[in-house]
Amino acid sequence: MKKYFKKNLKSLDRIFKFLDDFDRQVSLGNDTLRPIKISTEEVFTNFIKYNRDTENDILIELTREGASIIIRITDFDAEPFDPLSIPPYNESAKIEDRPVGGIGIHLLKKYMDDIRYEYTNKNSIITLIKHSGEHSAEHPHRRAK
Amino acid sequence: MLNIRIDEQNEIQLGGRFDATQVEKAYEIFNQVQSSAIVNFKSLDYISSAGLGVLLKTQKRLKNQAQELVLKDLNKHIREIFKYAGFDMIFKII
Repeated sequence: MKKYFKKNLKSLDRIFKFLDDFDRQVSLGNDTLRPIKISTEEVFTNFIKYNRDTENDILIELTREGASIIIRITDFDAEPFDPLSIPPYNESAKIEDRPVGGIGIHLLKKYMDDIRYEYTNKNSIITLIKHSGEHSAEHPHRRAK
Repeated sequence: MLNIRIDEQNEIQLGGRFDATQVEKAYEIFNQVQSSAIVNFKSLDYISSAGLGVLLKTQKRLKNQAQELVLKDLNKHIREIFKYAGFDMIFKII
């Protein structure tokens, strides 16, 4: 399944509906769907935040390959934004040392089994991979060339 | 959509979905809180980092005044996201 979404926060409702429709097709189950919703929201809102100058629609593509769910999110004609280049979030820091930003990318790394970033022809593409039916907090994420 | 209100016991009741579109609405309530308060998550289905950011910013403000938010009735999915974010170390959860 694939669909284009306007690059603003109002699209989030439609994105959640799109993910629900995908769930109805492939029966992900709540333990898989919920992390996918959280992670897709994080990537989408970061694309809005880091590439404010373009108004191109964002493409979300969803596929299932065996036990893996693949979420590919493309921001067209964009500046590079590599979520894996964001400094790690210290989840043990005291409250006074905690920044309010950076939690989303941290959660992405916790919930997804693999995160890949590509920047080609001025398109920023983030691919998230989630193995259905399990949690990914112990799994290392890898950067693909 | 997020449902948020302060009830007659002064608990902040959350319900629905606390995502990036609901931040302003949430601040309208959380910015009114000037002393320690319970936040009831019983009817909340979903929270993302945007919602966590609102809670963190409010907790920072209150802690500076020796006050705090205490979180109540988190479902297992929301407990998990709090644990992953390390928020279980900066919020009292009952």
